[in-house]
Amino acid sequence: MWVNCGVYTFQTLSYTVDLYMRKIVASKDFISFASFVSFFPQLVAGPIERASNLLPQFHVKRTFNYHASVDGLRQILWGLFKKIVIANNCAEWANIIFNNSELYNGSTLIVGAFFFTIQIYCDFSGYSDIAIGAARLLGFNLMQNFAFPFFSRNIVEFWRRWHISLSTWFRDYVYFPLGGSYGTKTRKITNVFIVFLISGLWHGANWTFIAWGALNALFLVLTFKSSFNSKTVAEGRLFPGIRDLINISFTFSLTVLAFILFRSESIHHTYSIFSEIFSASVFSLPEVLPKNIFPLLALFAGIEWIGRTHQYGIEKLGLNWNPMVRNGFYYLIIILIIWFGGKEEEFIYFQF
Amino acid sequence: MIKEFIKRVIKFFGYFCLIVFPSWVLINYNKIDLPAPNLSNSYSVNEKLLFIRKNIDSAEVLAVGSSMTLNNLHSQTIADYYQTSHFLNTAVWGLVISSNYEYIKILDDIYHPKDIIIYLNLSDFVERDHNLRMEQWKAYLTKKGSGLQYHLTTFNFPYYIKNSKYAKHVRTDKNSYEYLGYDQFGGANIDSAGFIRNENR
Repeated sequence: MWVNCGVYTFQTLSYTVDLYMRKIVASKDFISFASFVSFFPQLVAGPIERASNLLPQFHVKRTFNYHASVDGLRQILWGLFKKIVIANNCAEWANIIFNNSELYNGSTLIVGAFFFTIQIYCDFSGYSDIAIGAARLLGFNLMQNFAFPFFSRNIVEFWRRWHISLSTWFRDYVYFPLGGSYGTKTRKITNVFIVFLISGLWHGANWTFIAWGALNALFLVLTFKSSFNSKTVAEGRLFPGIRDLINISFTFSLTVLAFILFRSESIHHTYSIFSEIFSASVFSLPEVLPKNIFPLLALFAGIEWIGRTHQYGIEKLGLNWNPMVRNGFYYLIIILIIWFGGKEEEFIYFQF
Repeated sequence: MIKEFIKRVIKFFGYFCLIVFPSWVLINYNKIDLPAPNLSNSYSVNEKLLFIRKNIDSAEVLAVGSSMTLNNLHSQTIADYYQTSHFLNTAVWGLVISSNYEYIKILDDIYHPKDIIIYLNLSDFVERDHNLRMEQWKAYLTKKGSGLQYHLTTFNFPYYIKNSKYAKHVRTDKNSYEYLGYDQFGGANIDSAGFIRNENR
């Protein structure tokens, strides 16, 4: 396991800035501070924790909490399912399509982009779940990093739910100091672009990441007037309304398009993919359609939908079931992990 | 409280390892892609024995050797040359000539072939330490007992953990030196399209 410089830098930066802004007091306990900086569950790929949340937890005496530990194990299990079953299986097909993109028609490239979007979400949120769960086993509470972003009804909501620890970091330490939403419309738009361009650049020194940041900024600016949607979609109901469904599908489509930039090797590669997608070939049948993954994706999407108001998909699922049925459900997840686990793939965010 | 937690975790995984998982494997035995039974210390041998047991009832011509034979003989060409559909490529990776000799004796006992093609290079004469455990091979190839019986009698948990993904890889990845997705005669020609050559080889 190697240290992710991004997480380490952001965490120590937030400590320094918060100290300067007098939001926290300096830690005089070196062991606690060093533990905060190098806390192993989230050191590799986040969540990027704030000193104000994590540091005080090192100062208090922790006692074993049975329910928190069980919850931690449950979250680890769900994270493993997302990573090994969903992300790794999607990765196999996303890689085939993106690595040979010149051979495929527009509809196949959309299938590839779809698989990559699911892959990156399950890969990264799966890692976050494992990190949060492992921390909970040790008696620490880390912040939620993904809040079911694919059920967002607009891009503003999507960015409130995607990589929350990084988004809020940029909001607090870049966007707000720049003036945030105050000032003229031009100022506000400029601030959004600055934040997203830096965020893109953080992912790598490649124009594709910068373009990805710019495209997301553009989406955000165009949907500024969208409602804030502080509540989760269809809260208290089993199914979403038609309007919500259309909004969710539209937002998801925009994120799929944006992630093409994220996955492409170069701007030229992106251009060739977009040229094919926005051509007549998009109306032909996909040349690659791995049908065996879809039942797993449907199961995954269903569980995520049911658990969308919680911290993670299976947090409350089955808690009031008969223990035998509940354990059977967990056994089923373990069997799916063992049996349908895709080809071994490193976590995408280990590189950032 | 922590004792209770540990007790429950052990109980949960204990049930899983002893009851749930074995039951699931038994129920789905015919549907799942299990690794080949652990009949020798070479996975390539195990995979080839599984192939022969499942697919070959008679063999008039045998091809014997190691990876040279496995990957470089075009099965249909050999079958056409000998005008037979009962050709069997018995080759497995790294099988030296002395081990091959024992292996041929078993196959000869079972199939009584008319011709044996031996395709070797110098490295096949190097003596290597193979623990091939041939005692069960004949019984396995002549289908004495069910396939499941051999999984159980040779059961080794680390072997299954190690090879559950590996089996899928060798059976499907045509662009790998380790490819073992056999044709109907037991040959495994590597696909040159997209293949990354290892210069060290």
